[in-house]
Amino acid sequence: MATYQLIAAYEVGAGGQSSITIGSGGTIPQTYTDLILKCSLRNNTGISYNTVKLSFNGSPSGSSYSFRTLYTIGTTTSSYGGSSGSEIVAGGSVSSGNTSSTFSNAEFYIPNYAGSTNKSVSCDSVTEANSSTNGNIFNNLTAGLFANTSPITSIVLTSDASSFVQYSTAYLYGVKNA
Amino acid sequence: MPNPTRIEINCETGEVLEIELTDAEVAQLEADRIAHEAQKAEEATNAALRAEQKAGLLARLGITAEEAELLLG
Repeated sequence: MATYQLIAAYEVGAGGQSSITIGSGGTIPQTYTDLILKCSLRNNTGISYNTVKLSFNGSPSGSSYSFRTLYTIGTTTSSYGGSSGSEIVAGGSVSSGNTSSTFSNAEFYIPNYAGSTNKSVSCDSVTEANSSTNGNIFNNLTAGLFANTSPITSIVLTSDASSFVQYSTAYLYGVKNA
Repeated sequence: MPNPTRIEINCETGEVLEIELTDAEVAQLEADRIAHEAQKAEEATNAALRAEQKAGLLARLGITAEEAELLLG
């Protein structure tokens, strides 16, 4: 039976944070089979439909990341993607123009993170924006690839050129026997 | 006024470091924000243009959006 253990938890304090690095210095334990990152996020930009970016083993750099996202804004469904990038764009973050005190729900699943093959990532997220002037519900489903055979030892979470605001949270779990 | 900060969490020790961004990192953040806003504005303009073109086409055809969906369905 699969077991989940909390590896790290963080809640953004007053003043916000431009990024959250979990496992600085390469300290994510390599003793699990999979990782799950659960986030509740809000950012300080007024632009609607902001995304969350994920990179591994250091600051966003290189060209090892590719992804494809299926998303819905209101009733319109579309997709976007990228290849050879420096990060995976996956999931949404509620912007400051949206309903106050609401946060996104985002979950990232990273199987076989400690293995010696390329790493896949899946993400589903939703942001609520009950506003006639600044958007609708923003749903995301993302499949991503980190084309690197090194184990994942740290994760960097950033938003679209903005900061995560107070009470945003990130929880990293290790999964055994998945 | 101090620069914005970022968070680094050490999973072995549980230590949480709050690190002030360098001036170069702040400048990059601002450049990214401007580029992101420009991209979003372009997307909004394109979407508005497309909606206008669609409305014009429907008007020329003399049908409603629902009738167009029926035709294409």
